[in-house]
Amino acid sequence: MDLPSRIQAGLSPACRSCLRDIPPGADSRLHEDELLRRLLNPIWGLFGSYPWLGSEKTALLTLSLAVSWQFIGESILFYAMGIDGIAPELLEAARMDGASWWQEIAHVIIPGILPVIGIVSLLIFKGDFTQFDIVYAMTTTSGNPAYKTDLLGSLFYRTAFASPVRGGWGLGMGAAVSTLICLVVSVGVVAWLYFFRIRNKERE
Amino acid sequence: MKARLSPKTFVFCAAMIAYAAIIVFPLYIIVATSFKPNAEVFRNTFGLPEGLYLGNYSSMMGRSHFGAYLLNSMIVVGISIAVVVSLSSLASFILAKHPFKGSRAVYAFFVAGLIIPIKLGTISILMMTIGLQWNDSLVSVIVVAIATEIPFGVFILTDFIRMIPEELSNAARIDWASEQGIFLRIILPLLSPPVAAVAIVTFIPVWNDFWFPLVLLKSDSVRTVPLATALLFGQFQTNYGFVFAALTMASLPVIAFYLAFSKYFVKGIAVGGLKG
Repeated sequence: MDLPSRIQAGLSPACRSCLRDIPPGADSRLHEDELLRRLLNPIWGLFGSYPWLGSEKTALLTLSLAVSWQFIGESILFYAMGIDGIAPELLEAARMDGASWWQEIAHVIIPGILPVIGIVSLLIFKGDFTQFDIVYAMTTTSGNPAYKTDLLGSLFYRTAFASPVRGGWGLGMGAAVSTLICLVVSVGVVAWLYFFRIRNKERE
Repeated sequence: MKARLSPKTFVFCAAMIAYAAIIVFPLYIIVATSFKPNAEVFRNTFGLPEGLYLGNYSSMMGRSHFGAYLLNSMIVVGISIAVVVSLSSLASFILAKHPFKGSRAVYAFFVAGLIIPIKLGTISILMMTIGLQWNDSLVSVIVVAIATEIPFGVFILTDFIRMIPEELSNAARIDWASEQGIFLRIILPLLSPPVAAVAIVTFIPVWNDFWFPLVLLKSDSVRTVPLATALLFGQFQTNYGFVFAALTMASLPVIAFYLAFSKYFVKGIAVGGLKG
C-alpha cells in the first residue's frame, strides 16, 4: 500500500516495507483482550497497582481504549488506501503553489479522504453498538463493576441468553434489545447516507 | 544518495515505531508466555522465558481437545471461504455484466447486508437453526459465516468486474464462446487479486468469530478455537502458560494467512472498494 509514500517521500525502502507488513489488527479480538486484562491486573500488571478495570471511574475508559486498539488496524488500512487513491497531480499542484506540509494535509488530503472518514466512522459506530467480544473478555457480560461497562452488546447477550439468576429475561426481551440496537445503528447509517448525498450533490 | 532525515521524517518514524510496538508487543507476550510454566508466569510476567518450556504445548495437544477445535475452525473457515468466493463471483458477474430488471435492487440488498450487522438477527437465526435442527452443529456457524461475508464479496467483485472492458467478452463472443465460457475463461482468471482479498477478508472475521459459536454451539466436540480458548479461563484458577500456548496456536494461522496474502489484500481492496 506504500502507506504514506506520497506525503513522505524521504522514507527508506526498508522502513516502508516494514510498515506494509504490519498485520492491521489481523488477529485482534478476543486473544489480546484477555492479554490486556492481564496487563492491567493490579497485582502483577504492567500499569501499576491501580485496578483499571475494577474501579468505577476508569473501567469504561480502559475498555474503550481496548476497543480503539481493535479498530486502529483496519482504520489505518482504509485511510492508507484512501490517501493512496488521491491523484498525485493534485498534491503536486498544491506543492507548486507553495503549500506547506500542513496546508497540503488540510486542504488536499483531508477533503480527498472524506468518504473514507465517513466509512471508517460508520464501521466503528456499528462495531461499538454491537460490541461484545471485548466486553465479554475483559469485564464479563454483567458489566462489572456496578454496570459501568455494560454496553448494548453485553446487555443483549445477558437478557437473551443468560440464566435468570444472572439477569436473563428470555428471548423476547433479547429481541427487544436487538431492535433497539437496530434503531440506533439505522440512525447512524441514515446520517451517513444523508451526509454522502449532500457531498455527492455538491460535487456535481 | 545521502539519507535525508528531516525532523518531519523523524517524528513520523517515531510515531510509526510506536504503533508497531503497540501491535507487536501483545504478540510478543503471547508467544513468550506460552513457553513459561505457570509458576514462572507470576514470577517473571513480561520478561523473556527463562528456558524453553514445551509442556504447555504438549499438554495442549494431549490433554485437551485442542487439535479437534483447530480442525473445527478450519472446517468452518475452509467451507465458508470456498462458498463465499464461488457464489459471490457468480453473482457479481451477472450483476456487473448482465443487468436485469431489478438488479440494482439486488445489489442494494447485498450492500445493505454490508452495513446492517448480522448480530442483531441472532435470535431469529437461533430460532431458524433450531427449526432446521442445525443447532449445536458446525453447519449453523458455517451458514451464518457465509451469509455474513457474501455482501463484501459481491461488493468488491462487482466493482472489479465492472471495470473489466467489455471488448474482452465481445472478442470471445465473436469466437462463439458461451456466457459460461466467458465467465470461466476470461473473467475468472482476471479475478485473482480481488478473490484473494475476499478470501482474506472472509478468513479473519470468521476465524475470530466468537459471538455465533458462543450462541449456536453447545457441546464440546463442535467448539471452535476462540470459543475453546475463552473457556480455558477458569473462575478461580487459570493456567496462564497453557492459555497462552492456545492463543499462540489460534493466532498463528491468521498471521500466516495475512502475511501470505497481504499484497493481494491491499491491492484488491484498493481496486475494488472504497471508491466513494
